Amino acid sequence: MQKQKKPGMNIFYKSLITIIGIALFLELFFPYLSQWIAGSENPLPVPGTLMFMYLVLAGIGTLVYVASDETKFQEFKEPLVEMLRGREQKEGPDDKTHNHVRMAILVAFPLLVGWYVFNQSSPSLSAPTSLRIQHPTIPQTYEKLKNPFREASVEELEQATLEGRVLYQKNCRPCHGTKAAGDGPMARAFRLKPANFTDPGTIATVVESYAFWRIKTGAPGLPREASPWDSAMPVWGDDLTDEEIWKIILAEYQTAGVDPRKPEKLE
Amino acid sequence: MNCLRRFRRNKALNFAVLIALCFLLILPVVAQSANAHPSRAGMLQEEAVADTSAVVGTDPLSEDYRTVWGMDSRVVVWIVAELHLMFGAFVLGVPLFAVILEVVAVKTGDLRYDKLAHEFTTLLSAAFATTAALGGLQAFVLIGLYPTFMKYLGGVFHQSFYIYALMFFGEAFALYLYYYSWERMKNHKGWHITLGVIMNIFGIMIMVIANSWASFMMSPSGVDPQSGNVLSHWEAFFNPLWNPLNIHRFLANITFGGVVAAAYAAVKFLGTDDPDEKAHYDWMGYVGNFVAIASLIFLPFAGYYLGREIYSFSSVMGNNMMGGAFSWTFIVQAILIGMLFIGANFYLWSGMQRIPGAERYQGYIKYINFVLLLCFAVWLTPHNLPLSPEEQIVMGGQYHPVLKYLGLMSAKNAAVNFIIISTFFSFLLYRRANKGELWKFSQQGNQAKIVLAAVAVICLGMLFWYAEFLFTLEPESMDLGEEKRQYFMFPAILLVVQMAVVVVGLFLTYKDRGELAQYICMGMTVFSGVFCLGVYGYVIMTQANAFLRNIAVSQFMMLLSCLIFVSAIDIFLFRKAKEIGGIAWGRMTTASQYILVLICVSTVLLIALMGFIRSGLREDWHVYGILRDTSASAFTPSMAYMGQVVGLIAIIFLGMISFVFWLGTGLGSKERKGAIS
Repeated sequence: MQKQKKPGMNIFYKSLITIIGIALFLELFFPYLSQWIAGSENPLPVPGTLMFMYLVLAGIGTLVYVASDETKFQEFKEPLVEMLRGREQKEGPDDKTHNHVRMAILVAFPLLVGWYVFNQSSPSLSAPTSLRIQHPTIPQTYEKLKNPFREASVEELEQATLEGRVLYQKNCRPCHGTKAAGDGPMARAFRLKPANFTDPGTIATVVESYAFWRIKTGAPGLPREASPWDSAMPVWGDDLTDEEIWKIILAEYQTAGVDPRKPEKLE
Repeated sequence: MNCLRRFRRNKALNFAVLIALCFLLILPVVAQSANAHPSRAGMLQEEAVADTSAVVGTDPLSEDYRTVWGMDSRVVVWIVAELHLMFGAFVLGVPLFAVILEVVAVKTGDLRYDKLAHEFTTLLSAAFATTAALGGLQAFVLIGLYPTFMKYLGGVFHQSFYIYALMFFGEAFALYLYYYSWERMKNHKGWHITLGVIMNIFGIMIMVIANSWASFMMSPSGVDPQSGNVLSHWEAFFNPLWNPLNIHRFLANITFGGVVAAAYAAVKFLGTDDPDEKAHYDWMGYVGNFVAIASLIFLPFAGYYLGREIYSFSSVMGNNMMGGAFSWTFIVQAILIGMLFIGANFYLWSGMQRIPGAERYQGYIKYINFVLLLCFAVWLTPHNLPLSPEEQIVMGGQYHPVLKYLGLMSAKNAAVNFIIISTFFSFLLYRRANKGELWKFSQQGNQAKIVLAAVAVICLGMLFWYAEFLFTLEPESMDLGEEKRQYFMFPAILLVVQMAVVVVGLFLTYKDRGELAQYICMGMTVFSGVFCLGVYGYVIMTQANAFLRNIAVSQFMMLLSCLIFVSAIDIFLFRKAKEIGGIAWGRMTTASQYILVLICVSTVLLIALMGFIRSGLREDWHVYGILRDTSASAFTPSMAYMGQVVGLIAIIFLGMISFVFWLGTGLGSKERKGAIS
């Protein structure tokens, strides 16, 4: 005798469970996973903007999957149509309960949306989320500058790096840390933490002249779109000579264990 | 005579001739005003008086900038240039695959391809006149609104202006001949195809000449950097970004032509109830989409090459592009490209429903979908996140300590490779959906063996060439120390492994295990190109950054060899395979047709956006580092402002092309129907 295949769960509910599952994973599990990976002291939640992007993507993905098959799409629409129109055959024993649940959802859903909109648009005391430019444009006066010590002899380069390390520890360590990991004793005092130079996405991605510009002109030298008010970087050009800054650059790359980006050659 | 009569009746083409003539008349005027090469000192002097001259505005000779009817000059040029580029992309892209389709028709004897090629050419002739008109308008607005800039550009390029106009004539005449001789030369297809090839040669010449002007503005060469005086016209023409731009635009034009034609077919499909017409437009949409995807697959690499060369020419422009003021536009770009790839996959999966036997492969779809979404999540994740102050405190800085890695180039390259290979896999499933019992490769004769071996040799040669290059690469050539040589070895070894995979794949196919060979080849490409090199990229970023571009090329080589070799196996594997049932053309879902339209709209937005980025990177320079833009509009637009203009351009273009198609085909067909009845 052929076994009767049990009717499975409607794909709409499967989709809903998938999206809720992804949301729960990102909200509850991922922060601890990140903490474990990064060796952080506290869980690291997924930022709100990313959470929004990931959930929208999950929603699109689910819809794409369902809509690519006409049968699945029809099945997917059933509960939605039923929710909006009510059951066509009102003969079942649980019809009354179903109708109550339906009405509750139809009332609750707009209220939830309204609450969300109110919550998002009502004034709050917290500072708004800022869109920050990571690598603002270097002024052209700095673009072609080269570290003079890179052209010098090996001995001179070593000597300059050594002097740079002293200068670094004296001037930069309080914020950027002994090992250039952005964790100096004063780092915790800032809302926007000092750059972690060991991160492959910071000084390793810029040419030395860029680092020279950032050190020499500090936060006030940043263009408006890079939100200079967020940075506490001093204008080191007031206290250090150009030569000293170049030496510090040699030292900070060496301390962080990364190489500066090389000006690339046209092919 | 009949041909001549039809030519006279076609108003669109007559209009094109008129516009072409007008265009030829404009160019000498530009060139004449450019004969006196302005010196840098002279220009600086003009810059100094630019503001006042614009206000006084009495002496037309001293005006650097003008406005028209109170409109912002930059926005006028921006819109007109983008519209011209889009129409240009269409009329340069469509002939390429119209000729290919004609060749396919001759080779296979399937007249549907011939009909389709003719229909594409019909669209072309209608759009050609508008392209020419917009080209003329662009020249007018540039001369009128930016006289000093045009004077300088004319001084550098005036010789190429004349050649450009002649090429334009060449293309126009070749197009007329190609289009109107379709019936007359139906028994001389070889000659007709030759005409098509000539038309394409003229088209490509037009594109590369215009590209040199645009790329010169970004990477000027052959001129004195101080005075701006021309030192070499040739060098100015062959400037550093010229070739990367050519490659990128060439591929983008094909994609664009494909998506516009597919959207046209989709609209026609949705608008008819006739089963034959539905079947025809379903098939046309499929072919258009196929052509678009085939070239789209290579576009990320061409874009990467162009981007790297922009960075190499100027780290200011490079930084601006990926990390600076334009970095958020690339998030928008990622969303649009995501829509293209997801849309393309959706279309293929929907199409499988009208193929008997496809249900065997339905199970794969959810996994492909999952991979695509995961890759897009990576692609969309920016390195520098918009964070609330509370989030910054919890994370201890501007970056999420784990997710920040997804924002770097290495992750993006890996994700793109995986997306492409997943889309390719969807296509393979589509192709084999209705295929039943295979014809064993070992029984296909020596010709099949030789051809497959030749393809394998090409792939091996390609991989060997780059592996050998990496093994012998001198670190000094990249300004890296000798100790960095060790970092070149890993990708080189992976390329050798990929060569071994090709050899094993060839052996397995010879032994009638072609499908296994395909899976091994694709699996190893994902393992090496996506996972191994994706992670290794982070090491390279910190230890030998200059080598990162070679990692990307290695990934591309692996992917390309995989696509070529697996496609070749697929062709032989499913050649003459028994069919479970024929494809039910015309029974496509309505949703899939809307997706074709969505893909078209996304592509139009994408082209408008990327055009803005490429041009905007120059910031306040007309010609980067040589001629400064001193007008009031020299600022970099905000995202919102850019979004409004780009959206407006997309709406105008879509409106115009719909109107042009209606004129060229819809209206015409009704007239014909009326005449017949």
